Amino acid sequence: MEGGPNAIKIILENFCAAMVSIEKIDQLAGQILRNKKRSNFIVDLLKYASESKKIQPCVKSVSWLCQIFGSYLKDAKFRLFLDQSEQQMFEKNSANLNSDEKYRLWMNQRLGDLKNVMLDYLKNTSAKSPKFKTIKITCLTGLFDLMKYETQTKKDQEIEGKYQIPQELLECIIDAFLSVELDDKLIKKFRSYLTYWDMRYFILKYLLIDFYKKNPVTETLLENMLNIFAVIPGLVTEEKQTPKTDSANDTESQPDKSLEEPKNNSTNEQKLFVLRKENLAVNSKITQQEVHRKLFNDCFVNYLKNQLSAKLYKKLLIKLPEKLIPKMTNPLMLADFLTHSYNSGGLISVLALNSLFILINNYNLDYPNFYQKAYQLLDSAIFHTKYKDKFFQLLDMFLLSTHLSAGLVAAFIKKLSRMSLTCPPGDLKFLVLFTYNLLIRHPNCKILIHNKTKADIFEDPYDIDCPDFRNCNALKSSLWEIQSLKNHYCAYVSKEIEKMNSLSQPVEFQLDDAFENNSYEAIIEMELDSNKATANCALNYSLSINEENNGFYDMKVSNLVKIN
Amino acid sequence: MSFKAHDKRVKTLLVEYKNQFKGNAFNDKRIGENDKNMSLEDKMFKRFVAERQKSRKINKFNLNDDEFDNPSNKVELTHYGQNLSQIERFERVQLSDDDEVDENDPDKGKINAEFVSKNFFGGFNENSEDLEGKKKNRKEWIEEMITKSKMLKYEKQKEKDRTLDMTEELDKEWKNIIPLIGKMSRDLKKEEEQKKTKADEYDVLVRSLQFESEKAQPTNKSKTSEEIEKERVESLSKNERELKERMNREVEESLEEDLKQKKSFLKKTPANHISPDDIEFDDPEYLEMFRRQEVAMKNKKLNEELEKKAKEEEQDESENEQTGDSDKEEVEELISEKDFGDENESVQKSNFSEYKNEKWVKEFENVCLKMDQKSIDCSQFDAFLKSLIQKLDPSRDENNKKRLCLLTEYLISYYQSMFRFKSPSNISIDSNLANLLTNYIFDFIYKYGNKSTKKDPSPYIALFKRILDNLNKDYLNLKINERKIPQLDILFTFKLISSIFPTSDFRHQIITPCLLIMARYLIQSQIQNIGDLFRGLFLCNLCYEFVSKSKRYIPECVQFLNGALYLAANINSKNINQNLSLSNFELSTIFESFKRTKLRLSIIQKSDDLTELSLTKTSLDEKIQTDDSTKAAIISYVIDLLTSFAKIYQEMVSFKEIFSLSKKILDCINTDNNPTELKERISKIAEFIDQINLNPRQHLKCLIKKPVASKLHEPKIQSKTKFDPRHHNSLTSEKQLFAKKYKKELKSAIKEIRHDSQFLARVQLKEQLEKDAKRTQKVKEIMGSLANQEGDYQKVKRQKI
Repeated sequence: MEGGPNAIKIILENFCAAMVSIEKIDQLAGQILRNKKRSNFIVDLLKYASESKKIQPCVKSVSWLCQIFGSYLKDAKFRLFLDQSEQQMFEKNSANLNSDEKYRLWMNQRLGDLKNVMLDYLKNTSAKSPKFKTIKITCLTGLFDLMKYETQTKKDQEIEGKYQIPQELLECIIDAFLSVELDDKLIKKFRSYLTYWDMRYFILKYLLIDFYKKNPVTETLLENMLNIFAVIPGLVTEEKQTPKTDSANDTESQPDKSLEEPKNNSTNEQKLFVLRKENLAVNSKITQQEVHRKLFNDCFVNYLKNQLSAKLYKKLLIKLPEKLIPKMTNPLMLADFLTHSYNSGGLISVLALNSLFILINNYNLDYPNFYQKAYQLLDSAIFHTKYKDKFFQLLDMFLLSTHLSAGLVAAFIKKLSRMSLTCPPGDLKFLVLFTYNLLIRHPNCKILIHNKTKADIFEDPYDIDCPDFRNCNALKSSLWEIQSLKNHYCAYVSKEIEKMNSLSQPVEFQLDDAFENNSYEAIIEMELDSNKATANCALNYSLSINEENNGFYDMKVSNLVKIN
Repeated sequence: MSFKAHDKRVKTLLVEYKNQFKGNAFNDKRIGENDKNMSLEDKMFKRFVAERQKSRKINKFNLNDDEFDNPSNKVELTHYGQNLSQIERFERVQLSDDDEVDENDPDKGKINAEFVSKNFFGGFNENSEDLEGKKKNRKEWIEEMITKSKMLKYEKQKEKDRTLDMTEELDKEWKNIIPLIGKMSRDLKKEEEQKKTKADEYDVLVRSLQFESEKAQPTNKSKTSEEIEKERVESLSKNERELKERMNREVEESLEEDLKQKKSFLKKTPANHISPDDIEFDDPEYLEMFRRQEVAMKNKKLNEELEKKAKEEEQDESENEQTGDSDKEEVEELISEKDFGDENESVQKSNFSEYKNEKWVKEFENVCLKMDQKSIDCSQFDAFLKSLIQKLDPSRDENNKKRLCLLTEYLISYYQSMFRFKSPSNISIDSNLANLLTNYIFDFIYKYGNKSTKKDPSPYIALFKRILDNLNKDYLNLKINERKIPQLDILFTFKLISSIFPTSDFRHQIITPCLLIMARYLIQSQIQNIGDLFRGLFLCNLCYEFVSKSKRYIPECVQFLNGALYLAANINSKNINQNLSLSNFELSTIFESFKRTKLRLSIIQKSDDLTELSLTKTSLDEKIQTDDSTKAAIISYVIDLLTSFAKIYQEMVSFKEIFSLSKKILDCINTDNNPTELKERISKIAEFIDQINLNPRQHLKCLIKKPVASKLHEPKIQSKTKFDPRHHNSLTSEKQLFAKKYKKELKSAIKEIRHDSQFLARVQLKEQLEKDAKRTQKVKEIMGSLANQEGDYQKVKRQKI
């Protein structure tokens, strides 16, 4: 079949047993493509695709089959059946068909087989090996390609507002795709299809309502949906710009993503995958970004109605402020959801804080007891969480305004200083500098470190357990805690506190570097590095053990601590 | 018009007027011309001096400088043909080479007669003419002179260079020869040399005495025991003072003086610090000096020693083989080797690997192994170490310093391995051995690791840093659930560190990170069983030792103890909960690990005795439950620790806040079942905390600086107040005063200007008048001469007629 040297080559390579099947597949596919009469080999290929245990032949056969059916669908004579009924009619009359019609029927059936094979692969949960991912990716591309070919064979694409895309196929793909756990590569691939305006439109539309009807809601499903929502491209608008230029801006603002996308996106062109631009009406919904955003908005709000697990809930709250809120047309619809999460307490509240603050700040949400809640959230448990840096940054932002009442700020300061008594040394730097900044920002609070009233105080007037900062008497107190931290074992802490003693620097400190190197490891490393730390390295002048006979190596526990 | 004003105008306005249209002016630079205070004589003198200085200027570009100076340029006074200036330096003047030959020549230094007759006093013209027969003109003659002198100079220079080169060459060759001579004397002619040295003994003695007399300084008179005691106390108190200073502030590193002082202290006070090997050890510097004094003797001795050493090593080798043969417990050896390998890897990424395979390392390992098997006792081990150290004395070999450092590493890892128990049955710790090892390690560091600067960190310090760094990284790599309080070997490493370095320093390269590591263990570890808890408490105990002197606050310790109390109070279980409800904030300060653990310390059955806890046993306990008396013992340990922490923190301002939670939990511990001793302790600490809480405190006052005034010019102070009592109270008075003053000033200014213009007008008028007078004078003259002319002319005319 193949020309001279190639044939010899093939024979040589046949010696390698592993390669046999691949070569065979190549051969079969070549024959099918060249001669329609050899289409029977499709069955063999399908067998390879579905039953082969090795990855390579599988991938190969699937991609060949997609190609074969692509070329088949291009042929107008053998085009697809319009709908189920036509196919059934053909099947009933199978005896009376001429050869072309028979061929058409047969091919249609095989196409259905292929789709099933590929969908099965997509749904397969068992295999998580990296090799299996390549199959999944091939199947995904193959399915989308088939969808493209199918659409193109349908002539009248827009009839009375109804778009002729293989809706059924699309739905099957999405169902299969979302039902199993996804990894980054697959999501990336899927995202590349979402850059096409038509695909995005149809998929969002499907996810809006119908999707839930067809599928049982599971944990993986919800997680996948969240991941997809987070990466959906082309929905972020910048104000007062037409959607057209916007898509260009979008790619510019995300250079890392634009690399993956074909370049024609940057030339103000709205990419379409299956449909052709000529066929669309001027004001077609598909080409309007606002419509897409609205769709997304509704999709997401619908999504939130589902019961989310705690893990997913946290993930959602983390992704919300940066990845989801900007894409929505009406983020205020999240207000209830966020309020609920904010009130639920613990870590969830801390995470919800960020999104809530965005709503208040950018979308004019009126939230009456915001500071009250934030004040209550503040406690020592925060030091042991992963999100403490983010939380502290937010806290800094909340208290940025100089129009806050002195009582409120004093309550925060006092609580922070109380926390500093039980705080790891890494975070102390932030606490101290932040307190300093607050004192500079709100000169009325300086009474906390400089109070001229002479009185003996037995009980700290500040009541830490009082939930309302208005009644906690913070302004009547003093920052004794910070003062006593001068005796902290970590030298640089007491150095920072020295600064506060006189408020010598009338400018606020930059807090950014307080968040760097605030873990134990980093501090220990810093202290060990003699180039950075200018610490002395003296020795004891005599060995203290000698003096007390056996000293510490007395193994009686009762002798360890000597209470005078 | 006053004269004063007039004079002033003459000086200023008039000058200006005169220079009115002139672009530049002459500057009178004559010295002292404008200085009225200078007398005429002074002026003359100064001018003369200046002139002389000017003429003194040396021509830099004159090639014929110094000795062959052009006589025409410089006038020099000579004596015997020598510069007087040179003679005045009173150096022994080298006269010309000729003079040296005939020292007794009476005409020494005189120019020879021929030359004089030729050249002096105008004689040369004829003579030269006669002799040469050819007339040279003056110019040619001078040129010849110059070339001759140059030639002479060049030759002299050459001669000098040659001698210099030769000397250098000679030096070099001599240097090459020196070792040869030395070697010969050492290797080939040993006996001869011995005889020689014997024969020279007297010489040596004399010479050494000579050197001594040159070098020796009066020694201090020998001290009485009282004085020595006094000195010791003084140095101790000085060290104590330094320690305190370091505690209170950060002392910049590498204060050379401090180090020196320390060194001198080291020399002076062996009495204070007795180390097991002081007799053999000597300060390297001292040795250096010693060596310099008697090189020959030392050389000989060294040779002997080397020989001895070689013999010893041979013996050791044979011994080694013997032991190897006799023991044949290969399995154990394998184990030990493996152990050591592991330890070394964990402790060091050694830079001394070159010495690892040396013989003494093996010996050391063997002895350690024997020590482990208890086949030798502590004193034998000590003796072995002493001999080893003698062998590795750094005065013998430069590399021995590194070897000693490696030995220290081994000692540390052996020390650590002491606390690593291979079998649960054998879990005792030999405290004598631990003391011994600590002593040795401290000695090494004290003697050789003392000098550590930024540029040149001591390898011993680096050793400890590496240990800490590894601990830090190892802990980081653990998963959160696997993080536990470390075992005793690491805990006792901290102990070792605390005994070597001063723990009270404000900031210390080893102590500060060490404390941080310890605190991290407390805060991030999981507490799952009694052993974990006990090791945590022991760690708290170590922390306490670290800060007991400096009284620094370690929040992690207090929190950990609170957590332990929390377990004792059994707050989570429902039945005892009614007494106590912790607020959210208070709950948040208790570590997660205590909230999560299944461990409980509540005492269920009444018991009366406290078990004596064993450090080793309890720290290995992996049970979750234990009997009540052990629980009681642990609780009492917690209470003890808490009490000691409370005692060192009692002066802190926020003592109350720090211990409020502890107090709260203490109050609700159900003491019914507790042994009476424990009950007492609990009530004691509760009382103590209450008592401290009663101390009142004051509001904070920060050091507010006085406002610094912005910089002003010096205030103008008027001696006379222009204060008019009539307008005293009216606000306008000041304004009026100013208005008045202004008016006055204005008037005076106008007056001044008017005077100025008058003055100028006067000057101009004067000039004009002078000019006019000159003109009329001239006109008169001309007219007169013209009249004369006319008269003459008329006269002539009349005569003609």
